[in-house]
Amino acid sequence: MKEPITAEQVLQDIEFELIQGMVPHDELGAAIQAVRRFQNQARADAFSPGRRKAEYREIASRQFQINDMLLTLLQEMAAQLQTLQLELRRAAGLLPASPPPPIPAPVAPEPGTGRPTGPSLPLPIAESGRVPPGVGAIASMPQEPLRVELLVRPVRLPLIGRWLTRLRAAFHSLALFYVGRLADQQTAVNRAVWESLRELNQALVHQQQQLQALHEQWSARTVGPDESPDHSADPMPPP
Amino acid sequence: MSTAECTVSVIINTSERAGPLRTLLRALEHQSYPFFEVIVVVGPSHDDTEKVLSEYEGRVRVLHCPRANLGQSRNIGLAAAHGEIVAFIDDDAVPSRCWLEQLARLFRDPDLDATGGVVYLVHPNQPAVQHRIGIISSLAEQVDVRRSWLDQIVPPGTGRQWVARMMGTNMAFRRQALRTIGGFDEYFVWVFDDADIALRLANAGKIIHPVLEAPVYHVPASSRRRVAFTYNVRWWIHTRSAVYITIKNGRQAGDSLCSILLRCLHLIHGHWLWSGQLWRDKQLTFSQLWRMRLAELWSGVDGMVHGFLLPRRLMTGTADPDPEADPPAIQPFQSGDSARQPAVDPVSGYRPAISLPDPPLRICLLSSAYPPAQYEGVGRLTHLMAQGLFERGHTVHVITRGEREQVAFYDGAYVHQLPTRLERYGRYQGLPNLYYALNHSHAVYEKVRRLILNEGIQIVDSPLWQFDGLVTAVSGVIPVVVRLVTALRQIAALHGDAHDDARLVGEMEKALIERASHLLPNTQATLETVRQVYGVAPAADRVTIVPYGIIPVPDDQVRPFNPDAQTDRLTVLYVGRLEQRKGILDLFEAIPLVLRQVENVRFVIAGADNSQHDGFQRRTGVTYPAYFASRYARYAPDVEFLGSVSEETLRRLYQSCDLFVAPSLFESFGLIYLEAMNYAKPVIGCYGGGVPEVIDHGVTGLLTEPGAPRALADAIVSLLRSPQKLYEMGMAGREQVLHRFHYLTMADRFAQVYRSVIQRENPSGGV
Repeated sequence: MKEPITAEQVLQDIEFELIQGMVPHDELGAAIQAVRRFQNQARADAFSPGRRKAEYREIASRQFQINDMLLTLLQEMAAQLQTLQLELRRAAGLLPASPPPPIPAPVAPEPGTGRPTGPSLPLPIAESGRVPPGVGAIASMPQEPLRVELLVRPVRLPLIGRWLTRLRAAFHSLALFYVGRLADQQTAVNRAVWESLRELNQALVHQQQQLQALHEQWSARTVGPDESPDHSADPMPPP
Repeated sequence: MSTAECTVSVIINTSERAGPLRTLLRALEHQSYPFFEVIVVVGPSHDDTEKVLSEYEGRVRVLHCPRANLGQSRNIGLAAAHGEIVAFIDDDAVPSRCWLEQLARLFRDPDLDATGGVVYLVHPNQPAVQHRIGIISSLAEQVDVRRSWLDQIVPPGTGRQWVARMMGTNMAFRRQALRTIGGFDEYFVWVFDDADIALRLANAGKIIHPVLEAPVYHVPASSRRRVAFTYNVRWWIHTRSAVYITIKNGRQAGDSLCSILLRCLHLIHGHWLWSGQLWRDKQLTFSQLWRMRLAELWSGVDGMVHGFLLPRRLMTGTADPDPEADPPAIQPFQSGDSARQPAVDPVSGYRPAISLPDPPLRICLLSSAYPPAQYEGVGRLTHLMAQGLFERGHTVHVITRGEREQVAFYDGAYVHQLPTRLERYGRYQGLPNLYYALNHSHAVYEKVRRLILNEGIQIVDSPLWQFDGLVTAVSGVIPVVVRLVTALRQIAALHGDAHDDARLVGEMEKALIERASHLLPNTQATLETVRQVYGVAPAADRVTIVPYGIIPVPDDQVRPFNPDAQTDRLTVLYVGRLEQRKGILDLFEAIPLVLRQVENVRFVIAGADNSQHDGFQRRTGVTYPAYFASRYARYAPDVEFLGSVSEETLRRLYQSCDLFVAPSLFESFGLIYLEAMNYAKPVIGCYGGGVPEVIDHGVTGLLTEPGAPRALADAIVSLLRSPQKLYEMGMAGREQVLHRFHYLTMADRFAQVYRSVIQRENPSGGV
């Protein structure tokens, strides 16, 4: 049977939302600490001996909250990355100057463990089995310039109809001239984007190959003890 | 001088706006950052501007600009500025209290050269955010919250250079940076000077960083260029400036000549279409339309000639003689008395004529409903509190619900409206009351944080009703005092509502009470009820009983009963929602008993029918008026149901009645009795809740036991049969309103509590 919601749960949620709102752009490190503290507390609440057995709904609810926190953090990190990218573009003279982005506070190790408290790194692509998105799509992207065709509806008035049609065509051509200019600009942007994506894609494939090679190398070196070569007689340890 | 104390020159460019200028200068007295001077550059003026400025002799540096030219006026101020930072504000705007503090904080970053904050438009009908980090291109394309129909006509996105910009009424610069680029271009007699300066600073490699803080409240006033809140504006000056800025900055940014010319033609054509739109909307007459169009064309040509052929008109002597030398000392604007100046109403400029022994407080009141949008119990009381506290010199901010984010001013208080955004607490969607109230409470908390930062508020006062202040109280960022009123849990119990939603709302009320820095019940009975309902026992030093008060009506509006006059028919008035808690069924039962004994009587019942919500309709299938009409059909002609009435009607009802009756089973206080007493009317209530603390039995009216219709009828009859008592009790009630229940008395009591709480919670809080 579903247990009724208690006031303590609501108040815990308020505190959780307050913590979420305290993730400012320049204090990611502190925010990560706060998430970790919250997670530790939630873990203790759920699994500590002597406490009442936690319901799976409650555990799931806490997990969702932690997920939300991490997503918020990721969002903030993405915003910072974007700012950095803008700064890079600015440094390259592509954009006007603006103040530098705030530097995130360093992530301190968790007390007692010496381990960094930042989010764990994602698995290498090759290990996770994920395929980089758009590998095929980028290569097949059309590179045709944008075009708008002239389409003039003829005026069917007697005598002056022909002249009005020509006048209309002239106006339309003028408008198309400007539209064409905009389209050219957009085409240039598209082309630049496509080039960047293609280069990124190549780099990604290259990295993947490197990772694969390293992975194979690593697998070869970490064979079982009975299969490992006997280095005891060697005067020098293996490199 | 340390970097924390960088000096600021506030430059105000004014012309024929003496009233708004006085308001601005009064508001500047309240700035939290003291290291600033004020320079007023007066354009051609024929009003009381000089008289206003003479009131600040020795504190304000007054300069003159011979022409109505904003660029030139700004340059005159800039040339005379001694501060390291120059901050510009329009003469029809009012800064937030921490405006300069926030700007100075930003300028501690040595790389920053220009910044500016949010601008709120204070409009009688459509208040809005007027500016919030805009962007402008080298071809004068704007991406801004002010983006209008006019901006949509012209195709955007062709300029090569885009920079962040500030709005002229809220912008600040490092003086040296501004002088290095030659100050403002004096071609801009009005508008686009702010955008142009942003583009030029960016071109010079300076850093511009507008922010979301440091707000300024813009209360548009009429000028030679426009009539405020109308379309009667010299639009051609827009065209002229827009064409000029396009050419100058487009060429600087390397936009092609073709793009620049096309953009100029678009601008002129766009304004041409815009004037046509105004004419179709009947904002312009036909002759005005064509005068405007001709002026547009001429302005476009003027802008192109000056843009292409003539150099910029910059200030001479583009840099300080010796930038390394210490700047001359500023002439501080604030005096020793500034800290004790009463608050000023930014719209009317009114400042209470009182002298304060201590610095005024900065208070934030919460109320989900607030006049003029909603006029009900808690909102009405909060409004009275805001009025009283403002009259006592304090700065009052009210946070309430609204359809969108905006700031309005109402009777001296800043009214911050927050839209309902259901972004959080998704797991409570199935409990609508809790879900809405939690989300609103969180939005309130976020607003409170901004107000702490920008307005330096010292305390938050939340009603218990709908626990608006709960999240703020849990956060602990500021002391929260709680006004105890009728609790939702109490009402839920009365209506037999045992749903989870009502239970948890009650729990949240309890949590708010437990976390409050101080409790403010309106009567002893309210406090007792809260103790019983929630089982809380607050310490005596955390509780202060503050009876409510109202604004006494002028004597000429008071209508006491005249015992000597011949009265054809007596009127008994009931005001309040038609619901069980208000004792409406007891009144229904008492009415026939009265009418059987007294003939020349009629009953007037004003208030909305609440039979659906209190469960009456569910049980009986009819509304309260329909119930009376069917059950007591014989007496129905002598009873009039008016439904919900306007304030004006209510005033007339109070004036025209002879006796006021409200037999509520429970009232935490009962403001309605005071309203009747205000018009010198005797009142009848019940011994329920705080009513006995409002009605002095036998002096200002009579009290009966709740739920006793016969006793109620006897009380009504006894007073109706005694004209002398009707008069004497009415006058005694009026006396009580003038002294004991006066809204200023109430405000003083609240302020006293706030001050003590602030001192207790934050001894260095500066009170």
